[in-house]
Amino acid sequence: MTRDIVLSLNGLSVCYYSSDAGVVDISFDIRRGEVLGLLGESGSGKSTICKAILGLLDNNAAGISGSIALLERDITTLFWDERENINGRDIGVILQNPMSSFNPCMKIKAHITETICAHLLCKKRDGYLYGLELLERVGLEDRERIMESYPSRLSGGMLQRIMIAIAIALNPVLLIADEPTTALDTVNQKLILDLLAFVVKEYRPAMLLVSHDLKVMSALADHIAVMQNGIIVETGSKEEIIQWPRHPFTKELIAASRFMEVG
Amino acid sequence: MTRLKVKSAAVLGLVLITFMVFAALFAGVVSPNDPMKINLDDRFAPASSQYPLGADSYGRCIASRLLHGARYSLGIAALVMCGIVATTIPIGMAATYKGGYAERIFLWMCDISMALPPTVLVLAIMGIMGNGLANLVFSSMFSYWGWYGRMVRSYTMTEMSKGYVIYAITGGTSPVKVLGKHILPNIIPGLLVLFSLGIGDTILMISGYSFLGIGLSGAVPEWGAMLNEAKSMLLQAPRFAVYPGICVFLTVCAFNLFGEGLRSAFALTGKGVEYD
Repeated sequence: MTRDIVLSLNGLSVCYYSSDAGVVDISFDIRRGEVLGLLGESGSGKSTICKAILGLLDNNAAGISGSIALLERDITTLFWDERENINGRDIGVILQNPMSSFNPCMKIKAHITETICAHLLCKKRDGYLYGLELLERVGLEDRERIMESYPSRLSGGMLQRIMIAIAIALNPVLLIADEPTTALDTVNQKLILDLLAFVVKEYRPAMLLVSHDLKVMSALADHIAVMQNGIIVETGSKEEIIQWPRHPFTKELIAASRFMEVG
Repeated sequence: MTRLKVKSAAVLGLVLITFMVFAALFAGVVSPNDPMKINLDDRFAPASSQYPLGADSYGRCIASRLLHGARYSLGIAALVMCGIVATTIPIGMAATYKGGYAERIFLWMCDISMALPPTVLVLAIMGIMGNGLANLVFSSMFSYWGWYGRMVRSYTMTEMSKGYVIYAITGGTSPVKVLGKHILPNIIPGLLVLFSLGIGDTILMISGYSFLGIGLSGAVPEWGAMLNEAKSMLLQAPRFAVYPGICVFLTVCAFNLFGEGLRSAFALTGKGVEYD
């Protein structure tokens, strides 16, 4: 059973030198094919955990303790060259704001081939062809035109699907989806959720899903960890958390989102 | 309407710059006389077909001297700016991206350069190392380095917090590629404005130094040096000072117009490019 564990956080604490934000004593495991949802309000430390896993925390601005293990290998502090090999290949990322996550000076094909060619020994042309294939997998049509387009020419939903295409390009063991639907309209939210569900079923990565949206959680997550002020206040399976919440904060969150649904 | 004004100002600046650059490049071909040749019979000669702008107190052709002067003014300013660009951009970007000690040392270097007033620094360096073109270029570069280094750092920092830079890092892109392909192309517009305004400043500064007799010897037809020579007979022949003064004024204006035009152009199109 332990062999299945892809990501394991053990007592992870992060403190920023310049602010009170940060996380304390975070521990969880994610297995292959499993989706762990991190639920919490803004500022509760969800994104800090993602940054710590991706090695994006600035050593000069934040202190980190505890351990992060990817496939039993400690990745808490890595040199940039080792980090470069892991990011993009072993860990795929879907960020929350697709409109600002693509370099406005670079065509889509450059973004796609950049990630592929950074990890595989292949020519740009092969990367391009594989990119076309990937765009088909995420259900995009008119793929040659998309490849030649600049990001500003495409919609948020399209860009988010391209981001998912890049994330699954190298068949990563871990997918991190940081608020994947927050910046999108309802129709695109549905599309992206379906696509992510398909990705989990088809590729069976371990997935860390970060969201404040209960709808997203109930659509995708297997387990949910509820965060408040940098600590995990409650964990459990999706049904447990949504139907029988125990912690007052969880109850409040769920009541609030029910209220929004009923109106 | 404002857009049109901005555009025409920038175009005017560019036309003037092009004109100056051509004057500098083809000074040897188009100038009517040898700028260094002293002709004592023609001292204070008025404008004529032989001397389009007259001759100075040594009988040298003023028009030819102004044309050749463009070489010095533009050439030195370009050298200084190229030196600053070639050092601040790579060092500043790399140090900022690396952070920690690298960044702190870079900032110390900038602070040292910025702490000393440029004029004092240039005077001191020239005093120690002696008069000469190379020393002038070196000391001006040194004294202005910090200002541009700081700007490069702040542009890089702004860009580093953008979503696409973070996304590129999460995709495993190497630092060199992140800097070269994601950060540099996006900070170039800002830097272009900064450096084109900087060229104007540098021309003014170099002329100022040669007016004070620093850097270039009096015989060299540099605009500032010509002003220096003209000042002793400002009452008898004010036109000796007016011509090089106009040249300096127009050149600095041209670069400032061009730089400001670029700035407005980027600010205007920026709304279309903005993606958040």
